[in-house]
Amino acid sequence: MSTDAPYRFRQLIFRLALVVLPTAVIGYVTLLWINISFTAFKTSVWAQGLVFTTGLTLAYALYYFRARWLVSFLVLGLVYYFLGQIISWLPGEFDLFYATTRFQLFSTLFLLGWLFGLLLVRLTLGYIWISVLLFIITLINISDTTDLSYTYLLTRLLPLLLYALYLFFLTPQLSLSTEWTWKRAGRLVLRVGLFVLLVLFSFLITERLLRGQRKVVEKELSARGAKNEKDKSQDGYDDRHGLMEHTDDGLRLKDTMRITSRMSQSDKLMFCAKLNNYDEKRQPMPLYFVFHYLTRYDPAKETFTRDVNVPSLDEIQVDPTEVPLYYSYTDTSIFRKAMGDQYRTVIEANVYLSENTWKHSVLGPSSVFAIQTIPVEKDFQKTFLSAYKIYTYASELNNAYFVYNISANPFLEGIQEQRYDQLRNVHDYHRVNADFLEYYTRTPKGGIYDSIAQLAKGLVKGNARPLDKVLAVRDFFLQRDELGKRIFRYTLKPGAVDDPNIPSSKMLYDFLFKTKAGYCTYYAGASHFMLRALGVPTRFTTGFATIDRSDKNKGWYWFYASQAHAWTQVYFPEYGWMDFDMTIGNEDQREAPRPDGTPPLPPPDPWLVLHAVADRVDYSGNNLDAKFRDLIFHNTPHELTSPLTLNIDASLCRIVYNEHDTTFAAIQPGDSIIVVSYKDDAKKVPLPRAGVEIDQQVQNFPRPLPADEIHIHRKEEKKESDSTRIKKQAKPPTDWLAIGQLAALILLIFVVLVMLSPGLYLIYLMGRVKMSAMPARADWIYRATLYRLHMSGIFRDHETPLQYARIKVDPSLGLTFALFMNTYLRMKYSVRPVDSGEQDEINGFHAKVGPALRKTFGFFRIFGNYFRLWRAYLYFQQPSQTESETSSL
Amino acid sequence: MASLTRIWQGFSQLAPWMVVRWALVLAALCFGVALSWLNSEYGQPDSNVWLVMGYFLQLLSWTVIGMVAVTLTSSMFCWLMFRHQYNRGKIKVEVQLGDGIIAEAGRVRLAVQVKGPVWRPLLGLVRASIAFRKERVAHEVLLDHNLRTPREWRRFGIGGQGLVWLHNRGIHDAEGVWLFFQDLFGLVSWPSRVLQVHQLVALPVTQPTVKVHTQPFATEEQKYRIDVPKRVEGELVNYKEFETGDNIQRIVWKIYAKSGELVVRIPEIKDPYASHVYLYVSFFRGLGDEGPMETELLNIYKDRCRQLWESMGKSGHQIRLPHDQEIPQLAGVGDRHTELVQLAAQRWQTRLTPSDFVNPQKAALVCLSSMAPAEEIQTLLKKVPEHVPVVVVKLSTAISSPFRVSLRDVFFRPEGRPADRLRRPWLLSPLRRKMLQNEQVIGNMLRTRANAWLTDTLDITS
Repeated sequence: MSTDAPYRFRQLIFRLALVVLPTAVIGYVTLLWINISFTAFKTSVWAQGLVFTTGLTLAYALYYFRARWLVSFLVLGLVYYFLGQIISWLPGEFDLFYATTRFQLFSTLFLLGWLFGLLLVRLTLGYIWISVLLFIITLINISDTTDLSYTYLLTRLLPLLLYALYLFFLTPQLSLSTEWTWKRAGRLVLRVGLFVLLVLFSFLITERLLRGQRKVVEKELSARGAKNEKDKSQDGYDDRHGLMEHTDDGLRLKDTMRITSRMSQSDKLMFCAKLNNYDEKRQPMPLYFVFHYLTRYDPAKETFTRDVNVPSLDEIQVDPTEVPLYYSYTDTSIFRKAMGDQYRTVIEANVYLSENTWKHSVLGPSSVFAIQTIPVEKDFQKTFLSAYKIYTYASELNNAYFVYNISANPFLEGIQEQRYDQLRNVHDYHRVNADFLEYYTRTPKGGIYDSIAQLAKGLVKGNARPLDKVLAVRDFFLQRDELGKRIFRYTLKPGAVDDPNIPSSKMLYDFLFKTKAGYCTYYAGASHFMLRALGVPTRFTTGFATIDRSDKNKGWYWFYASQAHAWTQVYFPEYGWMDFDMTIGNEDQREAPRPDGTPPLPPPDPWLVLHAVADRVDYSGNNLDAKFRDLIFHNTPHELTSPLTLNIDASLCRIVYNEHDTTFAAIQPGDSIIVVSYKDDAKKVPLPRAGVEIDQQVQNFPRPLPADEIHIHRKEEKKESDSTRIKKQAKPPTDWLAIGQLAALILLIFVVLVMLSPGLYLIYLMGRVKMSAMPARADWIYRATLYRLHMSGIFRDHETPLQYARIKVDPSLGLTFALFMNTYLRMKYSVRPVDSGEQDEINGFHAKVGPALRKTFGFFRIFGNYFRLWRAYLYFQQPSQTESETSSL
Repeated sequence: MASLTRIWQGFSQLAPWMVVRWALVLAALCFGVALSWLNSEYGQPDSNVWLVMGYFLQLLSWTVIGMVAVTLTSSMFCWLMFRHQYNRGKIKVEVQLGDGIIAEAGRVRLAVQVKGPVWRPLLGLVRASIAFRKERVAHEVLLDHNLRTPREWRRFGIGGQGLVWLHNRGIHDAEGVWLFFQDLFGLVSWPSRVLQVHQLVALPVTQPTVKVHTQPFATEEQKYRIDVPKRVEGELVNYKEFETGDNIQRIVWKIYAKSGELVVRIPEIKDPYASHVYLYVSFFRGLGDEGPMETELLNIYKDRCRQLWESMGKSGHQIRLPHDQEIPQLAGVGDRHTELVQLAAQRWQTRLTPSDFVNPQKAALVCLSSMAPAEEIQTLLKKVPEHVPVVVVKLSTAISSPFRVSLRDVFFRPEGRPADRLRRPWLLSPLRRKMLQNEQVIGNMLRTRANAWLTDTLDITS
């Protein structure tokens, strides 16, 4: 054992693998979670991890070689200072801001890694401090999560726990004056593997034991109104992230809202909509389409979040994919939650969703209260995957042109002023519910937030009306300098690190007081804080800016990814929530990346929709019997008192399965189907009769019933179809018992083969002896004899074969193995051919080995020895010096 | 201060008996603080966060508690089993330091084997350390490998080896072995002390040799016999007359045939006994007392003496090393190391002054330390002839100053050594002051003599 440089370097490598690598991994995992939660961190997490790991590794290596910590920190400070100075010389305000921010972030991570390296080398119990520090960081990270779940905590805390336990396990072994060799490291790896298994096993056992309690917790959470994990998965988004992430749908809003140079130019069609909102002159009046309201600001994560428990949330909570075709979902509480009844009207819109958008959430103008799923015309199915009709309780005072596009359009200016006059009727918020007001005017205190509030308060007089406050904020962004040039401007590169879609407080501060350049989220975020500081209830709204670009198809609007937008909604008592877009006009955004397409044809008006089960299918006659109970008759849903079976004529019918056209043969008895029959002059369509029960009206339906569309939903009806048909048509269920038996059989065969392998090897050797001729036969006899002797318990340790024969074999068995060996060795190394006498001698010896062994040990013992796997294994091991044989004592 | 030191020393002696380790204390403390903080931060009864986190914490706590319980039980069980089997005489503990008898001071290899039915705790450790009679050595070895005979699956014990730092040159008496049965997380460590008497001589550390010119003038008569017939390579051989007791196989019959004289053939080697060199090394101490500084000075002095001894040995002379105190005889040490073992076993003494110790008729070189008072050296110089070199090892610089740093030391800490803790006290020590004064007088004294040096590097060529 030495202490020279190569030795120490080798020891360092072992320690880097055992200590630094896991620390780097846990650091990366922690950074990953922080990046998800904190917008300020949103640079490449790989880059962050790399910087952290570099600091950690360098520090560990340096301190391992006994570097002085004070001097090293002084050197680091100097490097930091000089790099900061170099960066400060960069030309360009934004480049400087960008570089400075990034430098600060990375230098902090580097220093953190450095500190961890120092703790790991210098302090025997440094790992405890590191674990505690990481736990604190993680807990702070998750502390303000509104919708905390078990899985969420598990993913955040379990890696940390594993890391801490691992270091607890490892450190006692590292702190000893142990020389690390590959052999020792191999043993350690095995121990670590067993340790991880033990931890996981313990965790699973405990989890199993506490499962009942977990259910209680989940139930309690459910009772309190929090969304459980199942709901979350159905929604497809995670409320924690402010701007929701989708994993199963095309583009994420998170990405979409990140109006970077990439996304701003994106020409991906998200959806199109036919909005039936016109003025008296039948001019289309576009409305912004809302995705979600982010009502709560999380100061810890510095982001806006969606709060499902918000007072009076006028957002319909339904997943459109779960509403059957032609069925509708209505939430009348939206009328109340809209908190306004002045100038309100119901507007209808058809929304066609492309593959790039979210099929699980409702997109529509403010206060959607009802939704009905509708089919997409066959010719448009390549462009649009699904569609729904929405009904919204919208304000007539809202309009996509409300704030900025007022110039050069006297007509709109007039409307604008009329609306302002109306809204000026609101003097204050005295009569508004105190909780509601407190919630929507809540802002964090201190530092940057106070500066923003002070700025806002300087813009208006104390007794100004809410609208004047809003307009004052708007005018603040519209102000011009002495040259008539706008002070605030729109830019997609505001200088923030990697353009986080939601700016942090620091970025908002820089936006308001320094750079004065940003995109929609900057304007919306800043105005949100300013208005709340002025006591005006405000919410951050995400969605899509609606742009009327086509004169050909009035009322049709096309929404591309680049139109993803954020703006502010302000509450006015009795009028409800009003959209105010504070963003300085971005002319680029007004230009569509592509011209509007051809609007999809409106769906025909059905007179009857049956939610049925195919009972009997006549493939030759293209008709079937449908058993149903639920139906929509002239747009009114009904339910029969008892199921009814109707014969359906499907000869001219379109069959749709899994949103694709198919043939009638695809319908299987037992399938759940939706049968649609459109109004047609050629059909004799029964009309609804007032005062008559639906069960009686159904009797008057034409028989067979002419169907225009049949939609197959195979998954659902399997539950209801009867068992005989399932056996015939459905895929046979997996026979786990058979699989288990097969696996057990394979395992048994394998075990038997393994157990028999020593004996099989003997058979192989004896076979080779039989089949071979001299001189190779002598060699096989030699091998077979050695093997038989070993398996009988006469082990050869470090002797030469001849010594082995003389000392161990011949005295104990009475054989002539030494003589055989002499002959064998002569044959092997001499050029002289084998004579017949020698051949006889060799063959004679081979014949004597078996009887001699049986005589000495007995047949059964010898037979039993061929099942001793370990002994057989040792035969193939070269006798080596074991550790106990070394002359250590 | 002294009482504090005594308390600390007392505590250090108790340290092996401490079952609970710092990791457990610190981890429990951190866990308690964290729990308290979480409770105060989120512990509202209607908080959803606390509801989930409470469950999760419970899950984690029980997982950890379960594991800790299992591993603690396992370690305690193994410890109890060890005690039981050891008391029954089924377990034997073997220890070896260095090669079993001697080793050069510094890092010394320690091997420990526990033979018998001994079990390791579940994924835990068994550590071992040596308990010495008058010193505490903190280094431990990990008993992490199994002892097996070849081709046997079962083990017959466990063992391990590592390094321990034995700094003092001299005899180290091991009284026993500490065995610690430690759990998986290193939270507790069950100690067990096993009696095991073992002795090791830590030799002075090898130093680069220097040029030393000595004149062998004291030759002893030696009866030399060749006991074992030996083949002699080459033609140049010497002959000597046959004496009773010589091997008759060595008689050269050709010479007998020619001259009638019975002679035996011996290899042509320089007769080592023809030129003996007496190196007188005095361990007389007139300054200082018994203490850690004196011990460290003794270590350095022994290193210098070894350096001198080895340098003189390069000339091919047989070096005799008379000693000025009673030295225990150690069996089993080869001839090559006998003198070194004697040198290592020396201690500072105050009974025999250098002038009484050195035989001026035999002395080829006299070595003293600056711990000897100047007056004693003056007396010695008068007694010893002018041609006999006298070397006084300067010890005031033996313990280096804490302010003596190289550029590398600014950025990297030098390898820590046990004597480092003495660097600062030595700077302010009264012994150093006295020694400097003494060395000044000695230096002046030696200038008047041609063959005398006061040196700390044994630079005695000039």
